[in-house]
Amino acid sequence: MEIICSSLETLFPCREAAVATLGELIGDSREAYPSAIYLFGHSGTGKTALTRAFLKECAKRQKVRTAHLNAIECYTTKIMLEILLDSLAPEQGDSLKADNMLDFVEQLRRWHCAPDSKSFLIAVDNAERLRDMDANVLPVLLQLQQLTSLNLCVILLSQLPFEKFYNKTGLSEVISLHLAQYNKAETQRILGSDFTQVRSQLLDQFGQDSKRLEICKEAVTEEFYNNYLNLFLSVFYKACRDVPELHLTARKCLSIYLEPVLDGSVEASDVSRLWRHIAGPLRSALTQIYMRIEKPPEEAADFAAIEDQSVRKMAQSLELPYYAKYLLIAAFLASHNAANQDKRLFVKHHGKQRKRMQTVNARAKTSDKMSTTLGPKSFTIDRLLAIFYAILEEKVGLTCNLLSQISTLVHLKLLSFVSGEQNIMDGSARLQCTIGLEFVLQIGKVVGFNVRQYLCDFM
Amino acid sequence: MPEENADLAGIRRFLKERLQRDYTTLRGYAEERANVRQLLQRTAEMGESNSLLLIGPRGSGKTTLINAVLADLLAKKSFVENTLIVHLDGNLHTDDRVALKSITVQMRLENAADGRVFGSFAENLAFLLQCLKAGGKQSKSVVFILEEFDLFCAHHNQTLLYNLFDVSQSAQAPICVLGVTCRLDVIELLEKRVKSRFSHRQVFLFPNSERFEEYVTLCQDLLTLPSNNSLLEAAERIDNLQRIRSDVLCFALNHFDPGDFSFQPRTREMWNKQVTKVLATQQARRTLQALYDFDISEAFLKNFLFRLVAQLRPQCPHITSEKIAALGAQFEGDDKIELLCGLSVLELCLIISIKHHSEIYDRDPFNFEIIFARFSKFAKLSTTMQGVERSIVLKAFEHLRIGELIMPLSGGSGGGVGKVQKEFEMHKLALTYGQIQQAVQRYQALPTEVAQWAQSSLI
Repeated sequence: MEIICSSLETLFPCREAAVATLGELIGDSREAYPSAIYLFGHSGTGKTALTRAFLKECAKRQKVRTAHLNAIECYTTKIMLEILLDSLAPEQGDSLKADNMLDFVEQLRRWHCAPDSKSFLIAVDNAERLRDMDANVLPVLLQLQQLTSLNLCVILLSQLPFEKFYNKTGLSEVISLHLAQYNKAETQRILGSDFTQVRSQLLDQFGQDSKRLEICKEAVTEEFYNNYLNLFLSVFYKACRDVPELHLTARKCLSIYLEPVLDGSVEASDVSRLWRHIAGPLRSALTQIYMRIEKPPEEAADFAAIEDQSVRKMAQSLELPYYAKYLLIAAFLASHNAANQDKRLFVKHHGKQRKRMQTVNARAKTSDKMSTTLGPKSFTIDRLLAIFYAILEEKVGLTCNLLSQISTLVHLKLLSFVSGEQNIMDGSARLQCTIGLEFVLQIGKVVGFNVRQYLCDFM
Repeated sequence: MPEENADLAGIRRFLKERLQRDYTTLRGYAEERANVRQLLQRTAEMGESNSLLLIGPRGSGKTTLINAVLADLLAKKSFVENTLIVHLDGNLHTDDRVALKSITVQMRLENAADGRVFGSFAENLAFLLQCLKAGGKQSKSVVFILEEFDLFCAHHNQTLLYNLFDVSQSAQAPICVLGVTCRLDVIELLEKRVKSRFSHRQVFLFPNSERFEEYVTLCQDLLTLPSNNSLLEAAERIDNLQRIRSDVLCFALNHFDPGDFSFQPRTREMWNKQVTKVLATQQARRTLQALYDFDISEAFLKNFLFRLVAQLRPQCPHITSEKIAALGAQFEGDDKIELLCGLSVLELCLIISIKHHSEIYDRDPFNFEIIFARFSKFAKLSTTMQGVERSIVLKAFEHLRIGELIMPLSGGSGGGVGKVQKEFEMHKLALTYGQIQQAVQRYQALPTEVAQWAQSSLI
């Protein structure tokens, strides 16, 4: 047990307590295992990696049979049972079959007489998926030790607290362990632990360029790298605490940070000037986190500018015909205005509107109840065309060219069908507009149309 | 020194095994135990048929009671020779066909039943029972143990239950049906024709919530080492279990065997003295009281003690009141708050704005747009949260959803996937305000302005 723990502690910095607890519970195959352990924590806290490494060590040192599977892969119970049997008894090949839980449990019971197998560990990733499988899977897994009378422990890994698993009649007891998210100091320590690897990679990269190689050798020290990580975390840590994600982005941005040093324009020790260089790119990289957009290097330098006005850029770069743009605006208005307001909005002589207390109260709505925040409503094609003709100053014929624009917009996913996709011609099809307010405001600007003026929310 | 280590390992192994695998020791419930025992005995010796339901919350010792009674009865030769035990589990035997097959196997009648075609379920069961009768002058009695009895009620037409109860009612062959369930309303689940055939004998097991002293004694019992004589006595009793000639009721195979252990009198006395001393301290009693207030079941206490015992190692060879308190604190902690503390500042900000929205609109559902609007109002004025892009916020919102801190409203809008854009899908909060409050207080290095914003929605 001690050997397992100490070998894992070097692999998983800042997880000593968790390793020790796991070691206490399932570290020794001669002692009784608990029937189930529930290991939970946010994504990127090392649940899977830790368990995998632990099982591997156990299998190597104590001849424990182990299985590690991901519940996402098991869309039927049968698949899960087959994976389990395969990995618990690899030498028996395909001869083992289990159609249902009963077969599986009976199979395990038979192993009791087998002399070589003593202990079993089963780990299930994404255990929250077990809730959606057959109702008996989770209770049986939790009781597997008692049912099979083997020295067997099931480890469930999930991001949810265990209370989310409770069903109507309750579950048997489990030991639940929480893997806490790393705090800032720990994150920096983990990110900094690969310094030697990063350095050798950089040196490899500048293998041909002797001048840069020199600078690189001199500048890239442990302190330099830690300073960089410190700056990096000061920007990223508030938005993202997922260590693998941070690790990836930190690697990506390092070259930008290093650039002025390699050019010779900034000293490697001048942290504040380096900060001025890196602050912009880091902030723009922040908008890209989780996206993992791979860009060619020449574009990467100025992705700051692109991302800032992403919506505007996208709206302007969208090359739609003139009428299609108006159709899109009409669709947006139809989606976000109530139909009974149409007359007042689009008809010239709509008559005088009497102000009654009721209507005044009804209209005194707060920003949270605006239709632009509640989402689009559906509309018919008739209403779309009516609004289209009302907002377009010139007269156009209702040709098939115009109607085909609607289907183009649907293809571009700017509009979507809510119902009646098949019967467009009889007028019962209902559409809705999927674009946001920002986007449509930009489109309106392009064609010179003030969209806000026609929205009930802004009156 | 190595000798002491070996002693400690022995103690740890013994305690672990006894906590985890002692399936037959029942404490308390003398009356209920006598009741069930008498019933089984009468079935075995007089050939009386009967049915009984054993009802109690999870972890209250229903299965243990049956096992204990069986262990008692197995000492008698007449019982062993006269009865067959058939063990069915609602989680494993998910329909009546599987159950009947299993019954055939457990009654060792596969050969007799092979190749026969049965018209109905009842015919099949009658045949099985007939086979038993045919053997000797007096027929063998069968004890059916149905674990998770409530699940059998969901089977089609409740055929199995109907037939079992019918046989037990109409003196065909002596059988005893023992149902084990944790649902109090289980009688209501039975169909009328099934209900009328049931004997309405019910035994309720409820742990008492006002006997804290007994709880402490139980705790002490579970931790102290018995004398070698009592070990031998217990071992003898366990040996009787081997007489169960059933592949299914296999707890005997892996049952904790006291015969394997023996302790030096000196070690035992030192250990027991230490345990008594620790359990008498104020701190330990306070923790136990807290646990008792949580959950009075024995299973819960065993789970707690198992973790406590697992912590024993050569560096700290004794259970101390500090360790008890520390572990108790872990059990008391709220998992959701732990998870909230692992969120990034951005995600916590979203949770806070959701909280404000829920407070203002009396727990109305919300979508991303509403929350984003509220968050951006704060972000505009704050120094830390400025410049966070919409896409990042959306990602953070999705992270909350994956962690099930917020849940999509089921049905209606949530049902039609793809019909509603994810920004507009309505969610509800799965946290209490108190949890959010505590998380904000406990969060490490939370910016002051965020903490202030959490207090009041005014910005």
